[in-house]
Amino acid sequence: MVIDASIGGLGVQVQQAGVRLGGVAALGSASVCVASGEMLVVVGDSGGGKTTLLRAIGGLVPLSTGSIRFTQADGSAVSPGPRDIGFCFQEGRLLPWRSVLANVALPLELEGVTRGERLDAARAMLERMRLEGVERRMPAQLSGGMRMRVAMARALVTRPRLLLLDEPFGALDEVTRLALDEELRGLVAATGATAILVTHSIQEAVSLADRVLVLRGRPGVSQVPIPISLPSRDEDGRMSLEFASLCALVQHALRGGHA
Amino acid sequence: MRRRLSVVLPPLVVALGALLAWESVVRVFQVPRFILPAPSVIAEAAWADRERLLAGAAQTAMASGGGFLLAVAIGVAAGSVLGSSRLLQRGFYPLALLFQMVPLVAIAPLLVIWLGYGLRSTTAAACIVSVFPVLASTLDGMRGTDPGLREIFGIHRAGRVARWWKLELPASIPSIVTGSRVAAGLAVIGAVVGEFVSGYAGQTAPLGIVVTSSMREARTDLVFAAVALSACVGFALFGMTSAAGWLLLRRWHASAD
Repeated sequence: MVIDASIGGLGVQVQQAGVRLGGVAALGSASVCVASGEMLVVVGDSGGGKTTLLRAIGGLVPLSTGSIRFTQADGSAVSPGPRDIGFCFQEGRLLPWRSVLANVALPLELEGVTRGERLDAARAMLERMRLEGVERRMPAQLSGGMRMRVAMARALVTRPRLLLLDEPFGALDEVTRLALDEELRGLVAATGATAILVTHSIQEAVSLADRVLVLRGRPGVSQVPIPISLPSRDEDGRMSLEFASLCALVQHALRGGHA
Repeated sequence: MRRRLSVVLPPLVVALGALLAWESVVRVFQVPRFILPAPSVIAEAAWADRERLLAGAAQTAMASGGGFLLAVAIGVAAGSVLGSSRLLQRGFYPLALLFQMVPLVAIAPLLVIWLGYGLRSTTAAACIVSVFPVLASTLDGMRGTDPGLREIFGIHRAGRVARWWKLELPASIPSIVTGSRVAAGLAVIGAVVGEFVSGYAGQTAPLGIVVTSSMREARTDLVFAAVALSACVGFALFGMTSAAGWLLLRRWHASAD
């Protein structure tokens, strides 16, 4: 796998961020500092504002209280452009009338990159995700797992410094999801991008994250992030005692106990 | 092969059966031919007058085909413009609806005043009756565009034109195809009704004129022949529209299966 960590991930400082949507509190208050290149996973009750937090960080919904700031790897403040942030949504959101290749090239196309350049970039990204064989297929001809990998390739094609993933594998079966989780972790590490992922699965959170942020209640209030250190994250790692106790810790934070 | 037969055979059997029943009813009850001619009589009359009828059918096909294409172009353009702004939609949609509500026979004389007798008027008549379904279905498609996909375009700050060309228009194609199928049938009706009022100019009479003049001469057989031909024109237009829709959608939309 080619490693190009040269650009460096964005750091994200979220301070007491709250969001009201249509007069209803969608996110109570969230605070977290995400370091450059870190993988943060957000878990919480449904309706607690996990997705809202992610969308607020991506600039898709405005904050009603608090602030979100972005920093370079060296600590200086920066305001990210549309190419700096890659989104991957739960439903994949591929254009059904476009081939896989044209879908992956779409972000670059909308940014005005020339045809040859954007197709090369899209092909390179597909190759990197071992999707070369399907570039001419239409999204409807792909399995759910394949479709999500294409969506991931599209999110990565602009070489973003921050990757925002909203339950990307939530609709998939357990086996596929675990395989994609491992792939995602490797991919994010190789690009050096910062990643924030939302999930409702505690197991997925613990096996993916550098740190887990728990949003408790409705609307959600963020708890102190839980650092995850595991000797290994493969299948054996998920069977280990450390893994089980970390899951219990996250579960505990979610249910409102005092850890 | 077997599947194809099961598609083609049932309508053929039904049509043949209906013709046979018609023929025998006319013969058994000796219905006068100016009231209801037997299919065989109609076929005979049509064959005898084939040159005039085919020339008329060509005229009607031109008017309805031209009017239909115009209606698709205008409908998609107007639907796209109205679909891009709620304010424009509120302002202009009732006006578009009015177009649909005013009976064509009532505006046909106006078309003669403005466009004269002949193909131009009948094309306009075909266009007027078929434009609304295309406009409404385009509007529906635009409005129904997946907000999740819209968000992707928003994230990358796509311009108004890119949004339309790369997102809203392709997303609307399934409903535009449906609307156009309805419009194809209406266009032929519009052309023939238009011809009743404003069809005659020069030597070749379109089907609408064949109908009215044959009626005056009590040639009911020719009236039937002209009606059957205009139905053929309608079927052809509908078939071409469906084929075009299939070509556009076969790779990605379930409706093309």
